Amino acid sequence: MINIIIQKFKEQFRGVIYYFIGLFAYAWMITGFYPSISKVDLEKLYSTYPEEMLKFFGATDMLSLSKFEGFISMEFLSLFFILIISFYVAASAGSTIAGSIERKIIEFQLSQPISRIKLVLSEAFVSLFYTLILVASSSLSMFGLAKVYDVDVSIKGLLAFFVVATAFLWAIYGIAIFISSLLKTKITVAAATLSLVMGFYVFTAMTNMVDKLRNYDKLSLFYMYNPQKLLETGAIDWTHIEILLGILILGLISSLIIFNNKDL
Amino acid sequence: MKRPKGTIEEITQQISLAIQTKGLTKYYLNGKVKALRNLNLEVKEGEIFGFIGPNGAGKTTTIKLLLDLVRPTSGAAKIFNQDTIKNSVKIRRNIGFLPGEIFLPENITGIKCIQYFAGFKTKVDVKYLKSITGKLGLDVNKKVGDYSKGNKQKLAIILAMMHKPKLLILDEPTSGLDPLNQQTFYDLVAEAKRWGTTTFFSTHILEEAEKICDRVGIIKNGKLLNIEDIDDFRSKNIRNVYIETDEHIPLLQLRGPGIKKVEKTKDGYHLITVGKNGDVIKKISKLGIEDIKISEPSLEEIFMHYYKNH
Repeated sequence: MINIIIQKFKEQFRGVIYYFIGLFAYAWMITGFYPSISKVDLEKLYSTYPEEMLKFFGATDMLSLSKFEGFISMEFLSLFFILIISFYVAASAGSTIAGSIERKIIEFQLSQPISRIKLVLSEAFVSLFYTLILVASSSLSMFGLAKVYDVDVSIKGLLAFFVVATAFLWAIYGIAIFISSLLKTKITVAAATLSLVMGFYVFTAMTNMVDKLRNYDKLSLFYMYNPQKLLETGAIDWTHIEILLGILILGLISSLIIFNNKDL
Repeated sequence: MKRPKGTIEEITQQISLAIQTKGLTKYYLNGKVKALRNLNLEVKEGEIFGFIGPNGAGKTTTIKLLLDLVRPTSGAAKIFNQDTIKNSVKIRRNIGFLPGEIFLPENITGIKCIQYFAGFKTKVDVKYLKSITGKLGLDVNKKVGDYSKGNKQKLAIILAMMHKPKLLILDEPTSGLDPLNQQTFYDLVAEAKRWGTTTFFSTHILEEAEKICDRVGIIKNGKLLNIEDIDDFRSKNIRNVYIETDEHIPLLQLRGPGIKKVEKTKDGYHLITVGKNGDVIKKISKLGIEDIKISEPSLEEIFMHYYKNH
């Protein structure tokens, strides 16, 4: 099991570095803009935008948008950040079952004395660990960049964001690995997962915009992920964490049951 | 230590069997594709068993069932008297597997690949590993992705044999190897037999089976047609005889005992013979022939003319 974990760490290391560079560069750009943009009356500026558009990008109230927490959430954390790491999560979950079957390397791997469960769990461990590292490094980057540009950001808020964002992306991994056990290629797993993430996002935006849908906001995964609120308050809703981890565990168990009975 | 249960005959049989299948059946697509039908097979410990059949006969399906890569529709298989599904991980500790098509991690070197797969094994004999790598002449410092098909095959042989497994399962093991390396491979299998390794390998090359097997199983359309001792199999001596002649010889005159098929060709006649060819040669020597060529028929020809009634 340990050799799979080491091999997967090595295989994915370079890719994870690229993801980190991309996320860091984007966070840098947004944080770098903020001091000059904050001189403008952001509240006034945003009030010229259509309300639906602001809601679509995760703005909860106009007042908070002028703060760094609101600005970086709307411009970076609410969608772009999630989409980028979701792409990593979906691709790595896709290569674990569907991709290994597609590339036919799984037959030789499973001719070794290792169970299907241990094989999947070893690879899942690496993906979940790297997801955590990507969220942690992004949170640290935001903290460091805020210091460089002399912008105030609460450590408690960043910690809360780190915990919830990690759990949120792990839940997406749970969904992706389940899809991976059903589909036949890595690319279809990635496409299906990203479509689902986008679908959840759009649904949440719609519940913000359309009154009739407001009561259904809990149906979306994004109901449990509000970066602006997390950064501002630093308060974690632990029930949400339990639900997100529950989705991860359920996804993993379902994928293991399906994979364990699959003909290769 | 657990005492084996049953009668003395049963115990003796249990102990000495490396592979045992009972009614092993595998259908795909809700029974539309009958890949393997009611396979009852026993492979003794220490023997080299050849599984011969044309493409699509069910050889690879059998191997996949033994390795628990696919699950049977019905029936069961045991390796070293342990159920292949319930004890699959334990069983695979004692197995070396060489797949028909090699798909290995491409972005690492040969040596890294060996180290990675050695991580699954309880024990690897480094001296033996170096010895087989040397015999096969593989440069392990190259990336797997840069290897030719033959070199990938060599690497897969090393991976299958490096832990001196009790059972070797080989699916078309010499495809991609040049004749020199084929011989090295046969030597390695023979050497493994000397320390008690059982070898189960699928092939469609008769000559290969005749060269190294103790027994062979003939499989076609998912059905095991026959199991034969290699000496009996060899004694069949199925041969293609091509007679070159300008003379017209009535086909009836060419027919007789030991001749399975007679047909007219462009340059003369084609016979498929079984057994010793002395009488056939005597018979045709009386005819006005210009030349005679005797060769081993393809497996397909053998199935068509020898096992057609099975």
